Amino acid sequence: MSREGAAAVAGVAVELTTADRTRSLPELIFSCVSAALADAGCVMADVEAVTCACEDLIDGRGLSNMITGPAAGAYLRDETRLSEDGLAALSLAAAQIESGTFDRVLVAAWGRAAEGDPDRISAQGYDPFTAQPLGLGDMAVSALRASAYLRRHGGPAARHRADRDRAVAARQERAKRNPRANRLPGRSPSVPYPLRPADLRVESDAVAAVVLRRAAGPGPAGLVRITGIGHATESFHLGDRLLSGLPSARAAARHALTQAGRGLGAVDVVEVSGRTVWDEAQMVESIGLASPGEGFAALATDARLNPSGGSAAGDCEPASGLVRFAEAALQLAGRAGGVQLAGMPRVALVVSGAALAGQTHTAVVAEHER
Amino acid sequence: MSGEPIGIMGVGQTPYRRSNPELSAGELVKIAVDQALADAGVGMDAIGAVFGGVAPDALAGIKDIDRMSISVPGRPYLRFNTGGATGASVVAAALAWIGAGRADTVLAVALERMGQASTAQAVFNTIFDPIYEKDFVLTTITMAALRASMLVKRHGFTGQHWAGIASRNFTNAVDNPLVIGARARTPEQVLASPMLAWPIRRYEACPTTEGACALVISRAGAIPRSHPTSWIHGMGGSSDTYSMGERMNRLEGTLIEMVPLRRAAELAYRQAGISDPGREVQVFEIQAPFSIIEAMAYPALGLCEVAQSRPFVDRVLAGETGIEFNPSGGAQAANPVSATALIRIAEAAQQVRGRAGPHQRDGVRRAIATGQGGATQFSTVCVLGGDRP
Repeated sequence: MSREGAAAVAGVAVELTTADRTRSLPELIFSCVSAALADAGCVMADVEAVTCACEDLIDGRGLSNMITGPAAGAYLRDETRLSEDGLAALSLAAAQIESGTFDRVLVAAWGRAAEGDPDRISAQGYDPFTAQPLGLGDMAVSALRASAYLRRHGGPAARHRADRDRAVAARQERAKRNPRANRLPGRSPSVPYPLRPADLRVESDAVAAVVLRRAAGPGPAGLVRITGIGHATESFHLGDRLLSGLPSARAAARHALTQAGRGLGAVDVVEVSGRTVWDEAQMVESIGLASPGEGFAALATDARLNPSGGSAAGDCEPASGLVRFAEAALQLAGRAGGVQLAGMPRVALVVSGAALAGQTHTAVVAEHER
Repeated sequence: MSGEPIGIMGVGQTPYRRSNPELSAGELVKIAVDQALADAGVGMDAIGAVFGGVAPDALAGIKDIDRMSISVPGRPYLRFNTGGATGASVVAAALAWIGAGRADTVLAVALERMGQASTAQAVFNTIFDPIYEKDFVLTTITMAALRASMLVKRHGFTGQHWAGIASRNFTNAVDNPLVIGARARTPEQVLASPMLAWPIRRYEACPTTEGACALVISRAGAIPRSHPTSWIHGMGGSSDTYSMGERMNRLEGTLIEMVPLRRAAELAYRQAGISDPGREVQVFEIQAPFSIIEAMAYPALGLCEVAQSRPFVDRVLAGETGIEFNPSGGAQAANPVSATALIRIAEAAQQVRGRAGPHQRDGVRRAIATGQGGATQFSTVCVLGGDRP
């Protein structure tokens, strides 16, 4: 990817809460988008296009961007709505800038867990004859992945349990330090074996917004550019997939890193999405940031992995990937607050999956120009 | 448009009918995709990304039905959902993707399975506000009726105008072999059909339709010189506010002026270098599921002034404009919602390529396809031409 004309981050904002009775979903979106514009030092009139990610069933109405899109500024300007993870929307927005279609694009993604049950909603995506009767949903698939992981790496040994406990404690501690984390209790879904309540994300009402702009020339110091993007897709059918790994996450990350001309060793901060700590552990292993079976230990000890606390700080699809990206961008800009990494991180890798149960993954590399 | 030209080199469409109980969603998609690839003369190995379009999940009865039916393992995949404009959003994204150098060729696919819904209008009722609007039985039909009554009051339209447009579209559809069950209807037959929501009658509205459409879109360097190609000269999109009350009286235009369509057209025309669309464009494929939407689109597309829209419709019905509208029959004859905007682009592309079949018009060098979604909240305009930019 040429750095000349590449997309750069102008501003970011994240809003994580639970069942805020004082604000509707459009008001949450408006608040977050307004904060991102303020962070970018611009107003909506400076933005040519809105590229957003949202889900009808999670928003609770058909063609939900009719009511939510304008709250994100989609009024008398171009609007593209994806039913995808927010990181995929960011990828498309970057393409809109790189292609010269637009100079400034607002990316937004949202999901309000308090309005519905994301897991029950996810179940509606599985085959109605062969899968739904089994009770399959994305949470059940996370549990199946966890079981496959245990089988592959030696069963429910004490070592895994200890590593998992340490990983859970680490992400909860980071989430406590994250000024953007949801301080309210999230939804409490039922927990299938071998998952435990502490393994889960904090199911939240989540909104993220990022203002991207064209960065012609070398740009000022402190500019965060997108330098690599990768996408990968697996089979729809779970039986065709490797449940103890995430090959599409691996492929997407490799593609993004190759495009950026970076190796994993050059990455200073990593933000990955995951419905549970198990999913996060499998993600970092699949990407190559931990050896097989060492994902929990890596999450517990490697400070550059999900310094935000990951989904323990608050999460709801399809905002997951854009929340993670915003956290990474803040790290690169040195503005992550209580979770800011030492040593001025320069290169970030963000990876996030989408329906169904990570069938597709998007990876983005962003770099800070000193 | 700037940068390397981008064109449509392959088109595939299923037949369009009320439902396809004998075909799965994946089988429908495969029919369209196989045709598009064969038409383009390429295999799946040439495809750098797959973009899918499916609008409200509830119409298909399965969330993310595209995941099992459109996505292809090993290829980047994105799903778009902008209601009736979904197919055009897919094409606009493909242009950006190719323009950014992410892929040489993108497979654009849109699928509609609304025949599986017990009632589409109950699903469409959920697009409106659950507290203030749903109980008014607002649907896509009744919101179109509100506009129709405004057109009657402000511009003096009558049922004859709507019936005339519908009659022409239904009659055109008879020559389109993909519209299953197409029947020519006279204006009198349209006017004699049952009232759905005053002043809209059954034959002024679109039918429930299923189907899939696929396009192979490539940068010029990936298209053989001799391959029949429809070049994309311009693409514009614009979105409006949700609340129809907010669109009634504002500086930009009223509810019946289709402000976002006008803005999308201005953008696309500027890219394509079009200053007089009535003279420079031979074919319009207008996404108008109701006759009244087509009547509102004419001034928005720069074919007449707003105040002259009724006399312009009179000229259209008298065949005096020299423009071919909806040779395929348009969305009024077949409206698979998620796919309709892509079908309009496909039909416009085929006219430019000279491959439209029995409904091919003569001498088409430029054609325009519009997209319309979300109670006319989302609008797109795509300009296609036979000349490589």
